[in-house]
Amino acid sequence: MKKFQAFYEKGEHKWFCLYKDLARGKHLIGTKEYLIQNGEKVLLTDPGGTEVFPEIVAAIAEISDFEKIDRVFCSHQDPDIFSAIALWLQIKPELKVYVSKIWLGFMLHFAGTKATFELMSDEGAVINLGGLNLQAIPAHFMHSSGNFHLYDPAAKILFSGDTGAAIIPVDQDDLFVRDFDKHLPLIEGFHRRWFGSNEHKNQWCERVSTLEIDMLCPQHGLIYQGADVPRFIDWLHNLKVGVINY
Amino acid sequence: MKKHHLLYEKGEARWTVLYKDPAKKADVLDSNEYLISYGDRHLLLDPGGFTIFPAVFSTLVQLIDPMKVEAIFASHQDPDIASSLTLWQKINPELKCYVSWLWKSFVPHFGGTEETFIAIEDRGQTIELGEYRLQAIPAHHCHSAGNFHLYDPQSKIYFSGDVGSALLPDDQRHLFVEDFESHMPAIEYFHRRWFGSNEHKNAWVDRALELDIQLLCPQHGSIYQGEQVGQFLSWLRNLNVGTTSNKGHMP
Repeated sequence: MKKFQAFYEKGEHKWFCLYKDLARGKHLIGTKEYLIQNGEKVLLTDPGGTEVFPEIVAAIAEISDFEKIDRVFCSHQDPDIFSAIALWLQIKPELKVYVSKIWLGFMLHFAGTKATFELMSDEGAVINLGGLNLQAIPAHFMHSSGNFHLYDPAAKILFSGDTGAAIIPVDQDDLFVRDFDKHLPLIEGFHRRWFGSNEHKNQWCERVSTLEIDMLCPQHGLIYQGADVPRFIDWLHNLKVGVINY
Repeated sequence: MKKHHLLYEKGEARWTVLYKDPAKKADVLDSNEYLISYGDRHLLLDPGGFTIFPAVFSTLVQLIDPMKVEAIFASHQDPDIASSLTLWQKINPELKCYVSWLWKSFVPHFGGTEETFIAIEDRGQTIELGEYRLQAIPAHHCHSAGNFHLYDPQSKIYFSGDVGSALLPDDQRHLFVEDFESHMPAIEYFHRRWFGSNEHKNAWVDRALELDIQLLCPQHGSIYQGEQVGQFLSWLRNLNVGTTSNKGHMP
Protein backbone atom coordinates (compact mmCIF):
# COMPACT_ATOMS: atom_id res chain seq x y z
CA MET A 1 0.00 0.00 0.00
CA LYS A 2 1.20 3.50 -0.77
CA LYS A 3 1.64 6.06 1.97
CA PHE A 4 -0.90 8.85 2.00
CA GLN A 5 -1.39 12.14 3.74
CA ALA A 6 -3.92 14.98 3.80
CA PHE A 7 -1.83 18.07 3.05
CA TYR A 8 -4.72 20.53 2.79
CA GLU A 9 -7.78 20.47 4.97
CA LYS A 10 -10.45 23.09 5.46
CA GLY A 11 -13.78 21.77 6.68
CA GLU A 12 -15.03 19.22 4.15
CA HIS A 13 -12.53 20.31 1.49
CA LYS A 14 -9.37 18.18 1.48
CA TRP A 15 -6.42 17.27 -0.73
CA PHE A 16 -4.70 13.91 -0.14
CA CYS A 17 -1.41 12.84 -1.66
CA LEU A 18 -0.53 9.19 -2.32
CA TYR A 19 3.24 8.71 -2.42
CA LYS A 20 6.10 6.30 -1.73
CA ASP A 21 5.20 2.88 -3.06
CA LEU A 22 7.79 0.47 -1.62
CA ALA A 23 6.32 -2.46 -3.59
CA ARG A 24 6.90 -0.74 -6.95
CA GLY A 25 9.33 -2.39 -9.40
CA LYS A 26 12.52 -0.35 -9.95
CA HIS A 27 11.89 -0.30 -13.71
CA LEU A 28 8.75 1.82 -13.19
CA ILE A 29 8.85 5.57 -12.73
CA GLY A 30 7.39 6.59 -9.35
CA THR A 31 4.13 8.55 -9.29
CA LYS A 32 2.07 10.67 -6.95
CA GLU A 33 -1.71 10.56 -7.05
CA TYR A 34 -3.89 13.29 -5.58
CA LEU A 35 -7.39 12.83 -4.25
CA ILE A 36 -9.48 16.00 -4.04
CA GLN A 37 -12.42 15.68 -1.70
CA ASN A 38 -15.21 18.19 -1.29
CA GLY A 39 -17.96 16.86 0.95
CA GLU A 40 -19.45 13.85 -0.79
CA LYS A 41 -17.57 14.42 -4.05
CA VAL A 42 -14.14 12.98 -4.80
CA LEU A 43 -11.91 13.38 -7.86
CA LEU A 44 -8.65 11.52 -8.51
CA THR A 45 -5.83 13.04 -10.58
CA ASP A 46 -3.60 10.97 -12.91
CA PRO A 47 -4.54 7.53 -11.52
CA GLY A 48 -1.25 5.90 -12.57
CA GLY A 49 -0.42 2.69 -14.39
CA THR A 50 -1.87 -0.82 -14.30
CA GLU A 51 1.18 -2.14 -12.47
CA VAL A 52 0.70 0.19 -9.48
CA PHE A 53 -3.11 -0.04 -9.36
CA PRO A 54 -3.37 -2.45 -6.37
CA GLU A 55 -1.13 -0.30 -4.15
CA ILE A 56 -3.15 2.78 -5.03
CA VAL A 57 -6.56 1.23 -4.50
CA ALA A 58 -5.48 -0.14 -1.11
CA ALA A 59 -4.46 3.37 -0.03
CA ILE A 60 -7.63 5.00 -1.39
CA ALA A 61 -9.76 2.48 0.52
CA GLU A 62 -8.30 3.94 3.73
CA ILE A 63 -9.22 7.49 2.73
CA SER A 64 -12.56 7.36 1.00
CA ASP A 65 -15.57 5.34 0.03
CA PHE A 66 -15.21 4.13 -3.59
CA GLU A 67 -18.81 5.07 -4.21
CA LYS A 68 -17.84 8.73 -3.96
CA ILE A 69 -15.12 8.59 -6.63
CA ASP A 70 -16.90 9.18 -9.89
CA ARG A 71 -14.35 11.25 -11.80
CA VAL A 72 -10.72 11.08 -12.83
CA PHE A 73 -8.65 13.91 -14.26
CA CYS A 74 -5.93 12.85 -16.72
CA SER A 75 -3.34 15.51 -17.48
CA HIS A 76 -2.36 13.68 -20.68
CA GLN A 77 -2.16 10.35 -22.52
CA ASP A 78 0.98 8.69 -21.15
CA PRO A 79 0.96 5.11 -19.78
CA ASP A 80 2.08 6.19 -16.30
CA ILE A 81 -0.82 8.69 -16.19
CA PHE A 82 -3.85 6.70 -17.11
CA SER A 83 -3.29 3.02 -17.86
CA ALA A 84 -4.96 2.02 -14.55
CA ILE A 85 -8.21 3.31 -16.10
CA ALA A 86 -8.83 -0.12 -17.65
CA LEU A 87 -8.88 -1.62 -14.16
CA TRP A 88 -10.81 1.27 -12.60
CA LEU A 89 -13.55 0.75 -15.18
CA GLN A 90 -13.94 -2.83 -13.96
CA ILE A 91 -14.90 -1.60 -10.49
CA LYS A 92 -16.52 1.68 -11.57
CA PRO A 93 -18.04 1.24 -15.09
CA GLU A 94 -19.67 4.69 -14.86
CA LEU A 95 -16.40 6.49 -14.12
CA LYS A 96 -15.88 9.74 -16.07
CA VAL A 97 -12.38 10.57 -17.30
CA TYR A 98 -11.44 14.18 -18.13
CA VAL A 99 -8.83 14.45 -20.86
CA SER A 100 -7.85 16.71 -23.77
CA LYS A 101 -10.12 16.30 -26.79
CA ILE A 102 -7.15 15.39 -28.97
CA TRP A 103 -6.57 12.06 -27.21
CA LEU A 104 -9.99 10.37 -27.53
CA GLY A 105 -9.12 8.11 -30.49
CA PHE A 106 -5.78 7.26 -28.87
CA MET A 107 -7.19 6.45 -25.41
CA LEU A 108 -9.81 4.17 -26.94
CA HIS A 109 -6.95 1.97 -28.14
CA PHE A 110 -6.43 1.08 -24.53
CA ALA A 111 -9.71 1.22 -22.62
CA GLY A 112 -13.15 2.71 -22.20
CA THR A 113 -15.84 3.80 -24.61
CA LYS A 114 -16.63 7.25 -25.96
CA ALA A 115 -19.02 7.72 -23.02
CA THR A 116 -16.13 7.25 -20.56
CA PHE A 117 -14.40 10.45 -21.60
CA GLU A 118 -15.24 14.08 -20.82
CA LEU A 119 -13.28 15.86 -23.52
CA MET A 120 -11.68 19.21 -22.71
CA SER A 121 -11.19 21.80 -25.45
CA ASP A 122 -7.79 23.49 -25.88
CA GLU A 123 -8.77 26.53 -23.77
CA GLY A 124 -9.47 24.43 -20.67
CA ALA A 125 -12.58 23.64 -18.65
CA VAL A 126 -14.28 24.20 -15.32
CA ILE A 127 -14.91 21.06 -13.30
CA ASN A 128 -17.50 21.37 -10.56
CA LEU A 129 -16.75 19.27 -7.49
CA GLY A 130 -19.66 19.66 -5.11
CA GLY A 131 -19.86 23.43 -5.63
CA LEU A 132 -16.10 23.89 -5.86
CA ASN A 133 -15.00 25.13 -9.30
CA LEU A 134 -11.75 23.46 -10.30
CA GLN A 135 -10.06 24.90 -13.40
CA ALA A 136 -8.29 22.85 -16.06
CA ILE A 137 -5.38 25.07 -17.13
CA PRO A 138 -3.74 24.54 -20.56
CA ALA A 139 -0.17 23.27 -20.48
CA HIS A 140 0.05 22.03 -24.06
CA PHE A 141 3.43 20.77 -25.33
CA MET A 142 4.73 20.47 -21.74
CA HIS A 143 5.48 17.82 -22.71
CA SER A 144 2.32 16.36 -24.20
CA SER A 145 0.55 18.03 -27.15
CA GLY A 146 -2.78 17.98 -25.31
CA ASN A 147 -2.00 18.62 -21.66
CA PHE A 148 -3.84 20.19 -18.71
CA HIS A 149 -3.12 21.06 -15.11
CA LEU A 150 -5.82 21.41 -12.45
CA TYR A 151 -6.13 24.52 -10.30
CA ASP A 152 -8.13 24.71 -7.10
CA PRO A 153 -8.62 28.44 -6.41
CA ALA A 154 -10.10 27.85 -2.94
CA ALA A 155 -7.17 25.75 -1.71
CA LYS A 156 -4.65 27.66 -3.92
CA ILE A 157 -3.24 24.36 -5.12
CA LEU A 158 -2.12 23.63 -8.68
CA PHE A 159 -1.83 20.00 -9.78
CA SER A 160 0.88 20.37 -12.40
CA GLY A 161 1.19 16.93 -14.03
CA ASP A 162 4.70 16.50 -15.44
CA THR A 163 5.65 20.15 -14.85
CA GLY A 164 7.93 20.34 -11.82
CA ALA A 165 8.50 16.59 -12.01
CA ALA A 166 11.63 15.05 -10.53
CA ILE A 167 12.87 11.55 -11.09
CA ILE A 168 13.88 10.37 -7.62
CA PRO A 169 14.71 6.98 -6.07
CA VAL A 170 11.85 5.47 -4.02
CA ASP A 171 13.80 5.70 -0.74
CA GLN A 172 14.04 9.49 -1.19
CA ASP A 173 10.35 9.89 -1.95
CA ASP A 174 8.62 12.29 0.40
CA LEU A 175 5.92 14.96 0.23
CA PHE A 176 7.65 18.33 -0.04
CA VAL A 177 10.75 19.91 -1.54
CA ARG A 178 12.86 20.82 1.52
CA ASP A 179 15.75 22.61 -0.18
CA PHE A 180 15.04 24.10 -3.60
CA ASP A 181 18.69 24.43 -4.67
CA LYS A 182 19.39 20.80 -3.86
CA HIS A 183 16.24 19.82 -5.77
CA LEU A 184 17.36 21.55 -9.00
CA PRO A 185 19.68 18.79 -10.25
CA LEU A 186 16.74 16.37 -10.00
CA ILE A 187 14.46 18.43 -12.25
CA GLU A 188 16.77 20.08 -14.76
CA GLY A 189 17.45 17.13 -17.10
CA PHE A 190 13.79 16.18 -17.20
CA HIS A 191 12.47 19.62 -18.19
CA ARG A 192 15.27 20.28 -20.65
CA ARG A 193 14.83 16.99 -22.50
CA TRP A 194 11.12 16.17 -22.23
CA PHE A 195 9.87 19.69 -23.05
CA GLY A 196 10.28 20.69 -26.68
CA SER A 197 8.98 24.25 -27.04
CA ASN A 198 10.28 27.33 -25.22
CA GLU A 199 7.39 29.37 -26.58
CA HIS A 200 4.68 27.22 -24.98
CA LYS A 201 6.66 26.76 -21.78
CA ASN A 202 7.02 30.54 -21.39
CA GLN A 203 3.33 31.15 -22.11
CA TRP A 204 2.51 28.77 -19.29
CA CYS A 205 4.97 30.46 -16.88
CA GLU A 206 3.42 33.85 -17.60
CA ARG A 207 -0.11 32.56 -17.20
CA VAL A 208 0.38 30.70 -13.91
CA SER A 209 2.34 33.62 -12.45
CA THR A 210 -1.00 35.43 -12.33
CA LEU A 211 -2.57 32.69 -10.17
CA GLU A 212 -2.34 32.53 -6.40
CA ILE A 213 -0.57 29.24 -5.73
CA ASP A 214 0.45 28.02 -2.27
CA MET A 215 1.35 24.53 -3.46
CA LEU A 216 2.43 23.22 -6.86
CA CYS A 217 1.94 19.46 -7.04
CA PRO A 218 3.63 17.40 -9.78
CA GLN A 219 2.84 13.79 -10.66
CA HIS A 220 6.47 12.72 -10.14
CA GLY A 221 8.84 13.99 -7.48
CA LEU A 222 8.03 16.45 -4.70
CA ILE A 223 5.52 19.23 -3.94
CA TYR A 224 6.68 22.87 -4.05
CA GLN A 225 5.22 25.13 -1.36
CA GLY A 226 5.28 28.81 -0.42
CA ALA A 227 8.23 30.73 -1.86
CA ASP A 228 9.44 27.65 -3.75
CA VAL A 229 6.44 27.98 -6.11
CA PRO A 230 7.48 31.33 -7.73
CA ARG A 231 11.09 30.17 -7.45
CA PHE A 232 10.25 27.14 -9.58
CA ILE A 233 8.22 29.15 -12.12
CA ASP A 234 11.10 31.68 -12.51
CA TRP A 235 13.62 28.91 -12.89
CA LEU A 236 11.49 27.25 -15.59
CA HIS A 237 10.97 30.57 -17.36
CA ASN A 238 14.74 30.95 -17.65
CA LEU A 239 15.44 27.37 -18.66
CA LYS A 240 16.16 26.58 -22.29
CA VAL A 241 14.22 23.46 -23.20
CA GLY A 242 14.14 21.21 -26.26
CA VAL A 243 17.89 20.71 -26.13
CA ILE A 244 19.01 17.36 -27.48
CA ASN A 245 22.67 16.34 -27.54
CA TYR A 246 23.16 13.95 -30.41
CA MET B 1 -9.69 -8.96 -38.96
CA LYS B 2 -7.59 -6.45 -40.81
CA LYS B 3 -6.61 -6.33 -44.44
CA HIS B 4 -2.98 -6.96 -45.31
CA HIS B 5 -0.73 -6.12 -48.21
CA LEU B 6 2.82 -7.09 -49.15
CA LEU B 7 4.72 -3.83 -49.73
CA TYR B 8 8.13 -5.28 -50.60
CA GLU B 9 9.81 -8.61 -51.14
CA LYS B 10 13.38 -9.30 -52.12
CA GLY B 11 15.24 -12.45 -51.16
CA GLU B 12 14.55 -13.16 -47.52
CA ALA B 13 13.27 -9.64 -46.75
CA ARG B 14 9.61 -8.62 -46.71
CA TRP B 15 7.53 -5.64 -45.56
CA THR B 16 3.85 -6.32 -44.89
CA VAL B 17 1.27 -3.77 -43.82
CA LEU B 18 -1.89 -4.52 -41.82
CA TYR B 19 -4.57 -1.89 -42.42
CA LYS B 20 -8.28 -1.16 -42.35
CA ASP B 21 -10.36 -3.26 -39.97
CA PRO B 22 -14.02 -3.18 -41.12
CA ALA B 23 -15.12 -4.15 -37.58
CA LYS B 24 -13.27 -1.26 -35.89
CA LYS B 25 -15.43 1.21 -33.94
CA ALA B 26 -15.45 4.64 -35.59
CA ASP B 27 -14.09 6.54 -32.54
CA VAL B 28 -11.03 4.31 -32.20
CA LEU B 29 -8.17 5.90 -34.11
CA ASP B 30 -7.36 3.94 -37.24
CA SER B 31 -3.87 2.44 -37.42
CA ASN B 32 -1.50 0.64 -39.77
CA GLU B 33 0.82 -2.02 -38.40
CA TYR B 34 3.98 -2.89 -40.33
CA LEU B 35 5.77 -6.21 -40.15
CA ILE B 36 9.36 -6.54 -41.30
CA SER B 37 10.36 -10.13 -41.98
CA TYR B 38 13.75 -11.62 -42.71
CA GLY B 39 13.29 -15.32 -43.38
CA ASP B 40 11.17 -16.45 -40.46
CA ARG B 41 12.33 -13.73 -38.06
CA HIS B 42 9.99 -10.79 -37.57
CA LEU B 43 9.98 -7.27 -36.20
CA LEU B 44 6.60 -5.61 -35.61
CA LEU B 45 6.35 -1.80 -35.73
CA ASP B 46 3.87 0.02 -33.43
CA PRO B 47 1.62 -3.00 -32.81
CA GLY B 48 -1.25 -0.81 -31.58
CA GLY B 49 -3.44 -0.69 -28.52
CA PHE B 50 -4.92 -3.30 -26.22
CA THR B 51 -8.38 -3.03 -27.78
CA ILE B 52 -7.24 -3.69 -31.37
CA PHE B 53 -4.97 -6.60 -30.42
CA PRO B 54 -7.52 -9.30 -31.40
CA ALA B 55 -7.87 -7.82 -34.91
CA VAL B 56 -4.11 -7.42 -35.39
CA PHE B 57 -3.24 -10.80 -33.96
CA SER B 58 -5.88 -12.76 -35.88
CA THR B 59 -4.59 -11.23 -39.11
CA LEU B 60 -0.97 -11.88 -38.31
CA VAL B 61 -1.43 -15.56 -37.45
CA GLN B 62 -2.57 -16.15 -41.02
CA LEU B 63 0.72 -14.77 -42.31
CA ILE B 64 3.38 -15.92 -39.86
CA ASP B 65 4.08 -17.88 -36.70
CA PRO B 66 3.51 -15.20 -34.01
CA MET B 67 6.09 -16.88 -31.75
CA LYS B 68 8.68 -15.72 -34.30
CA VAL B 69 7.97 -12.03 -33.66
CA GLU B 70 11.17 -11.43 -31.74
CA ALA B 71 10.87 -7.70 -31.17
CA ILE B 72 8.56 -4.74 -31.23
CA PHE B 73 9.63 -1.28 -32.34
CA ALA B 74 7.64 1.38 -30.45
CA SER B 75 8.04 4.79 -32.09
CA HIS B 76 6.90 6.43 -28.84
CA GLN B 77 4.85 5.98 -25.65
CA ASP B 78 1.25 6.63 -26.71
CA PRO B 79 -1.58 4.18 -25.92
CA ASP B 80 -2.29 3.54 -29.62
CA ILE B 81 1.36 2.55 -30.17
CA ALA B 82 2.16 -0.19 -27.72
CA SER B 83 -0.50 -0.68 -25.05
CA SER B 84 -0.98 -4.20 -26.47
CA LEU B 85 2.54 -5.02 -25.26
CA THR B 86 1.31 -6.91 -22.22
CA LEU B 87 -0.68 -9.27 -24.52
CA TRP B 88 2.23 -9.78 -26.94
CA GLN B 89 4.31 -10.77 -23.97
CA LYS B 90 1.86 -13.52 -23.08
CA ILE B 91 2.61 -15.04 -26.49
CA ASN B 92 6.35 -14.64 -26.28
CA PRO B 93 7.76 -13.79 -22.84
CA GLU B 94 11.20 -13.29 -24.42
CA LEU B 95 9.90 -10.51 -26.66
CA LYS B 96 12.00 -7.32 -26.72
CA CYS B 97 10.67 -3.81 -27.16
CA TYR B 98 12.78 -1.02 -28.65
CA VAL B 99 11.76 2.40 -27.33
CA SER B 100 13.39 5.78 -26.65
CA TRP B 101 15.35 5.90 -23.38
CA LEU B 102 12.94 8.64 -22.24
CA TRP B 103 10.09 6.14 -22.00
CA LYS B 104 11.95 3.18 -20.56
CA SER B 105 10.34 3.63 -17.14
CA PHE B 106 6.99 4.99 -18.45
CA VAL B 107 5.98 2.27 -20.94
CA PRO B 108 6.30 -0.55 -18.32
CA HIS B 109 3.18 1.00 -16.76
CA PHE B 110 1.43 -0.88 -19.62
CA GLY B 111 3.29 -4.13 -18.86
CA GLY B 112 6.58 -5.85 -19.57
CA THR B 113 9.50 -6.52 -17.27
CA GLU B 114 12.86 -4.87 -16.76
CA GLU B 115 14.36 -7.23 -19.38
CA THR B 116 11.77 -6.38 -22.05
CA PHE B 117 12.96 -2.91 -22.99
CA ILE B 118 15.90 -1.91 -25.16
CA ALA B 119 16.42 1.83 -24.73
CA ILE B 120 17.35 3.77 -27.87
CA GLU B 121 19.73 6.69 -27.31
CA ASP B 122 18.71 10.11 -28.71
CA ARG B 123 20.91 9.80 -31.80
CA GLY B 124 19.24 6.53 -32.87
CA GLN B 125 20.83 3.16 -33.56
CA THR B 126 21.06 0.21 -35.90
CA ILE B 127 18.47 -2.48 -35.28
CA GLU B 128 19.29 -5.97 -36.48
CA LEU B 129 16.86 -8.62 -37.59
CA GLY B 130 19.23 -11.50 -38.18
CA GLU B 131 21.61 -10.13 -40.80
CA TYR B 132 19.14 -7.49 -41.93
CA ARG B 133 19.97 -4.01 -40.71
CA LEU B 134 17.56 -1.16 -40.09
CA GLN B 135 18.14 2.38 -38.82
CA ALA B 136 16.22 4.03 -35.98
CA ILE B 137 16.03 7.69 -37.05
CA PRO B 138 15.40 10.46 -34.46
CA ALA B 139 12.13 12.41 -34.78
CA HIS B 140 12.00 13.89 -31.28
CA HIS B 141 9.15 16.31 -30.50
CA CYS B 142 7.33 15.21 -33.68
CA HIS B 143 5.10 14.93 -31.65
CA SER B 144 6.51 12.88 -28.79
CA ALA B 145 9.57 14.06 -26.81
CA GLY B 146 11.31 10.72 -27.41
CA ASN B 147 10.33 9.56 -30.86
CA PHE B 148 11.92 7.34 -33.52
CA HIS B 149 11.20 6.26 -37.07
CA LEU B 150 12.66 3.22 -38.80
CA TYR B 151 14.47 3.36 -42.14
CA ASP B 152 15.26 0.37 -44.29
CA PRO B 153 18.07 1.37 -46.70
CA GLN B 154 17.67 -1.87 -48.70
CA SER B 155 13.99 -1.41 -49.63
CA LYS B 156 14.06 2.41 -49.18
CA ILE B 157 10.96 2.15 -47.00
CA TYR B 158 10.68 4.65 -44.17
CA PHE B 159 8.29 3.98 -41.27
CA SER B 160 7.35 7.46 -40.06
CA GLY B 161 5.17 6.80 -36.99
CA ASP B 162 2.82 9.75 -36.51
CA VAL B 163 4.57 11.90 -39.14
CA GLY B 164 2.46 11.97 -42.28
CA SER B 165 -0.58 10.70 -40.39
CA ALA B 166 -4.04 11.52 -41.66
CA LEU B 167 -7.27 11.77 -39.71
CA LEU B 168 -9.79 10.34 -42.17
CA PRO B 169 -13.26 8.83 -41.85
CA ASP B 170 -13.02 5.04 -42.23
CA ASP B 171 -14.77 5.00 -45.62
CA GLN B 172 -12.32 7.51 -47.10
CA ARG B 173 -9.18 5.68 -46.08
CA HIS B 174 -6.96 4.22 -48.79
CA LEU B 175 -3.79 2.23 -48.37
CA PHE B 176 -1.89 4.62 -50.64
CA VAL B 177 -2.27 8.37 -51.04
CA GLU B 178 -4.10 8.78 -54.35
CA ASP B 179 -3.46 12.46 -54.92
CA PHE B 180 -1.28 14.59 -52.64
CA GLU B 181 -3.22 17.83 -53.16
CA SER B 182 -6.51 16.27 -52.14
CA HIS B 183 -4.85 14.44 -49.21
CA MET B 184 -3.59 17.68 -47.61
CA PRO B 185 -6.84 18.61 -45.79
CA ALA B 186 -6.71 15.24 -44.00
CA ILE B 187 -3.19 15.82 -42.65
CA GLU B 188 -3.06 19.55 -41.93
CA TYR B 189 -4.90 19.75 -38.59
CA PHE B 190 -3.07 16.76 -37.20
CA HIS B 191 0.41 18.13 -37.87
CA ARG B 192 -0.46 21.67 -36.81
CA ARG B 193 -2.13 20.64 -33.54
CA TRP B 194 -0.08 17.65 -32.38
CA PHE B 195 3.36 19.04 -33.26
CA GLY B 196 4.62 21.80 -30.96
CA SER B 197 7.99 22.86 -32.25
CA ASN B 198 8.86 24.19 -35.70
CA GLU B 199 12.55 23.89 -34.86
CA HIS B 200 12.39 20.15 -34.23
CA LYS B 201 9.96 19.56 -37.09
CA ASN B 202 12.35 21.28 -39.52
CA ALA B 203 15.35 19.38 -38.15
CA TRP B 204 13.51 16.15 -38.92
CA VAL B 205 12.57 17.27 -42.47
CA ASP B 206 16.26 18.05 -43.15
CA ARG B 207 17.25 14.61 -41.86
CA ALA B 208 14.64 12.86 -44.01
CA LEU B 209 15.68 14.80 -47.13
CA GLU B 210 19.13 13.22 -46.88
CA LEU B 211 17.66 9.72 -47.23
CA ASP B 212 16.52 7.96 -50.38
CA ILE B 213 12.86 7.18 -49.55
CA GLN B 214 10.52 5.37 -51.95
CA LEU B 215 7.68 4.72 -49.50
CA LEU B 216 6.88 6.84 -46.45
CA CYS B 217 4.66 4.80 -44.18
CA PRO B 218 2.76 6.48 -41.32
CA GLN B 219 0.97 4.68 -38.51
CA HIS B 220 -2.34 6.41 -39.32
CA GLY B 221 -3.75 7.12 -42.76
CA SER B 222 -2.21 6.44 -46.15
CA ILE B 223 1.25 5.61 -47.50
CA TYR B 224 3.14 8.17 -49.64
CA GLN B 225 5.00 6.79 -52.66
CA GLY B 226 7.55 8.09 -55.13
CA GLU B 227 7.34 11.84 -55.67
CA GLN B 228 4.60 12.20 -53.03
CA VAL B 229 7.36 11.70 -50.44
CA GLY B 230 9.13 14.87 -51.57
CA GLN B 231 5.81 16.71 -51.84
CA PHE B 232 4.96 15.77 -48.27
CA LEU B 233 8.38 16.79 -46.93
CA SER B 234 8.28 20.20 -48.56
CA TRP B 235 4.67 20.74 -47.40
CA LEU B 236 5.66 19.90 -43.81
CA ARG B 237 8.73 22.17 -44.04
CA ASN B 238 6.43 25.10 -44.81
CA LEU B 239 3.75 24.32 -42.23
CA ASN B 240 3.63 26.43 -39.07
CA VAL B 241 2.99 24.01 -36.19
CA GLY B 242 2.23 24.47 -32.48
CA THR B 243 -0.24 27.29 -33.03
CA THR B 244 -2.29 26.26 -29.97
CA SER B 245 -1.34 28.59 -27.12
CA ASN B 246 -1.18 28.34 -23.33
CA LYS B 247 -1.94 32.01 -22.88
CA GLY B 248 -5.72 31.66 -22.90
CA HIS B 249 -8.27 32.62 -20.31
CA MET B 250 -10.92 30.38 -18.89
CA PRO B 251 -13.81 29.71 -21.27
